[in-house]
Formats: sequence, structure tokens, C-alpha cells
Amino acid sequence: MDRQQQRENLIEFLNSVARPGYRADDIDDHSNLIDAGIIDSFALIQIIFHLEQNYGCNLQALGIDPADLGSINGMLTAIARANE
Amino acid sequence: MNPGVLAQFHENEALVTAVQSRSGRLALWLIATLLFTWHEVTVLMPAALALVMVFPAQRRILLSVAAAGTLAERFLDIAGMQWMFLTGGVVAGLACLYIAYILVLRFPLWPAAARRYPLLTLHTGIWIALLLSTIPWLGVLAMVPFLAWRLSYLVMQGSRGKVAGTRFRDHLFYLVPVFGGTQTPYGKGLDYLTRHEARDPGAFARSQLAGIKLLLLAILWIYVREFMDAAVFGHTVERLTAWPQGWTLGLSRLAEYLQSGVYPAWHIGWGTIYLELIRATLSLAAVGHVIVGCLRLLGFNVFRNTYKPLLSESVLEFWNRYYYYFKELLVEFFFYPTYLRLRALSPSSRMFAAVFAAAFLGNMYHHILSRPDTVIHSDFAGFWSVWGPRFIYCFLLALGIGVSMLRQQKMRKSGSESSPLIRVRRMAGVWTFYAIIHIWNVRLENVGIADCMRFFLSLLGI
Repeated sequence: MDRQQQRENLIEFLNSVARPGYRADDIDDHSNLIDAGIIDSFALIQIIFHLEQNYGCNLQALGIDPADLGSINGMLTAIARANE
Repeated sequence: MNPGVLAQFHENEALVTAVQSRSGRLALWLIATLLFTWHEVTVLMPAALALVMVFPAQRRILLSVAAAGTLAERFLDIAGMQWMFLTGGVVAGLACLYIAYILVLRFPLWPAAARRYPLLTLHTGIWIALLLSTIPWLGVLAMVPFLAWRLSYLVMQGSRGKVAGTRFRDHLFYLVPVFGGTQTPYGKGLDYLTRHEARDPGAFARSQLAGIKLLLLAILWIYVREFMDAAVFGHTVERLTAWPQGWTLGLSRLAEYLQSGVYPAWHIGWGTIYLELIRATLSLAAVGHVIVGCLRLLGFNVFRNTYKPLLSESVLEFWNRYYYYFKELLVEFFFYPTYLRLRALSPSSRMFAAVFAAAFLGNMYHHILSRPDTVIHSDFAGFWSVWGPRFIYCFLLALGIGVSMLRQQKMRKSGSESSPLIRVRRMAGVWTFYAIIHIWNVRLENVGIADCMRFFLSLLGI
């Protein structure tokens, strides 16, 4: 799966955990989704779980800070590091 | 004028432009200073604000210099006007913080066990410092609980390799904030503050207007609380002095019922606990608005601490909106580490364990750290008499949040819309949950778990 496809899958997932009335489609890859009000810090747990289940990301082993998963770019970087 | 437009004055582009002019900045500073005086914010704040407004690019240096003044203020409280002690205390305090910064900067050189558990290492050091604070000439170490969570953010950032490339002044301004603050670090650490720091005059003006709005809102909430105190409880109030004596419902506060052991009729009891929840929310909102207001005026446009929690439709949402920076602290230092370590558990068990680590263990620990004397100078009976009710409160809170989290996940999956009636019912449920558990959150000498339980049973007519 290439980065663009991963990004599209992530956006689809993020829309399913976004706060009511918010969508992740138009947000910049580097913007923080929590700061933008799209998700809350507990949705980050669902993101971690999603990355573990679907991309084999073990954040602890990779030394990735959960706060770094606040942006789409952060999530794509975590996936890339898990695949290295 | 439309009230909605008035309430959103901080987003009015004409006003944002106006406060960027010289006269606009002066007017904004004068208004802010008047509001600081009303809220009894430290005298350092107007001076620091003036300098930051003139030299916004030097914000961190200026606030770091102000930190020395803030330390002096704190030592003044402890030692009075003993100049030698005051000067020595400020120099020693700054030196200790600088050593802490250097140690974090050299995180890769820490022993392996300390690198693996950096927060545990830090908090072991904190408790050693607290034990040493019992030695009379080391009494200033009693300040450590105030720094504990600020240092935790610093250490956490160091453990992630994000302190390299930063300077001492990038940390000093949040370790010892000029506006004072509480043991909970509003605005968290450097990472979060940097993300919300105003980078241009327009963003700075918007942030400052949002800060003024919060200081005004804090005044409103203080008056509403005083109105409640006078009109409902018949208490003498500090600011709403015009309220006519005797115009009151004459109800007692929850604390008064718990201390007297004489409980009201069940319907009055229910009214009391709901009013107590509203009063606690108003108090916390007022305190948080002043602190966040100060941060925004200085150019850090961070989230509010309390944001309409009484409109929450779930226990989880209320926790998120009631005391944001305390929740963030618990999530960051207890929830995430537990969740990430317990990969072997099922998703639900893993989440429940992480919730209990945060809302129960972390919550208890945070409060115990605020009263270290109950650990250092008490036996177990003394310790339990102080913390027993809170133990029940934290347990019930964690249970409620865990259940709420599972329910939220299910609701997200179903994605169904709710009618207004259902939403009101949910809000009522949230109020009831927090109002009930708050019975165990009233910290009083000589009021134990059994007293709180008896009051709760009185609500059921038992």
C-alpha cells in the first residue's frame, strides 16, 4: 500500500472517530487534529489501536510519543517506521 | 448589537486590527491591568505583560526574567522580608531548576533503568526532596509539589529527545509562571505552549482579546457563585455586598450537612448535591479562566480549562470539559503509558486498566502529592482519615469513565443521531453521576467514608 492510499484509509478512519459535525478530509497533513477540534485526546486511543491492528505499529517499541499521532503526517510516519 | 457578536468580540477583525495600533495596545494593557487588580493577580503580571507587548519576539526571555520575581514572591510567603534568605532562595531555586534542565538535556546518559522509567525516577527524587524538606533549613523544598508536574512535562519531553536544541529560558517561563498558577500546569509543557504561541501581531492580538474575554467571564462566574451563596445558602459574600440580608432560601452546603451529621429531607438533599456541582463548576471555571486568560494575554492561545461541562452528554465528555489540564496530565502520565504497555490484554480490559491508572491511581497520587505531610508525618489511620473518601471518589470516577468510554465507542460505531429529549436525559444522567460522586470529594476533617455513605443513603430516603 503506498503513502497516498494509506492517507486515504486514515482519513476514512479519522472521520469515523471525529467529533460530531467535524471531518478530517480538508485538514492539512501537519495540522494537529486535537488542536483543530476534530478529535479529542481519547480518540487518540482509538487511533493507536487502529495503527496497532492494521499496520503493526508498536509505539512503545518504536519510541513514538502518542502526542505525535495528533497529525496525519505523524500517523503516516509511524506507519512508515513500523514497516522499516 | 447582536449578543452573539458581542460575545465573540475577540474574533472581530476590526477590533483585532485596532488593538495592534499603539493606542490600541495601551488601551488593552490598561483594561488587562484593571482586570488583574480585580482578580488579585500578582503585581508582576502587568509589568511582564507590558514588556511582552513591547517586545513580543523576546517573550520567553522576559517571562524567564519574571520567573525570578515569581520565585522571590513565593519565598517571601515562606520567609517574610529576610533579604539574605530571599536572595539566597531565589539563586538556589534558579540553580536547582537549571541543574534539572541540564540533567534532562543529558537524558541519553542516564542509567538504563532511569531511562526506562523517567517519571518514576523523577518522582522518587521529588519524594526524597520532600523528606529532606522536614530539615528546617531545607524547608524551601516544600515548594517541590508545585514544580512536580511541570518537571514531569520537561522530563517526558527529554525522554523523547525534544529538549536537545532548546535553551533554559524555553523552559523556565512555564516551570515558574509569572501569573502564579496551581499545582496543575495549565498550558502543559513546552511542546504544547510552542504550538499555541502567537507568531505574528494578528495572532497575538487575537490571543490577547481571547484572554480579556476569559478574565471578564471569570468575573461573571464569580458573581453568579456569590449570588448562589447569598440567595441559596444565606452566606455573607465578599463582592455581592448589595444583596439584601435575609433574602435567602437558607439551605445548608453539603459540607455543613456532612459535618453536622444531620441530613435534610431527600428532596432537599438532591437539590443540595446538584447545587454543589454547579458551584464547584463555577469556582473551577473562574480560577481556570484567570490562569488561561493570563496565558492568552502573554501570547499563548491555549484551550480553556473549563468549557461548558454542564452541557456534556456523557461522563467522559464532562471529564474532558470540566478540568482539561488536569485530565490531560492524567492522560499523558498515566493513561497512555499504561495503555501502551498492556498490549497483551483484550481491547476493553486494556482500556479499563488505563482508565483506572489515570482516573483512580493518578488522581489519588496527584492529590496526595499536594499534601505530602499526610504521608511523611501520619500513620496509616491518619492517612486514611484524610484520603478515605477521595479513594471512593476516584474509584467511582474511574468506573464511570471506563463505562462511558465503552458506551461512546459503541455509539460512534452505530452513528445514530439523538433527539433533543434524549440529549437532555443524557445531560441529566451526567449531572446526577457527578453530583453523587462529589459527596466523597468534599475534603473535610473528621468526615469519613461512612459519613458520606450515610448522606448518600439519606438521598434514597434510607
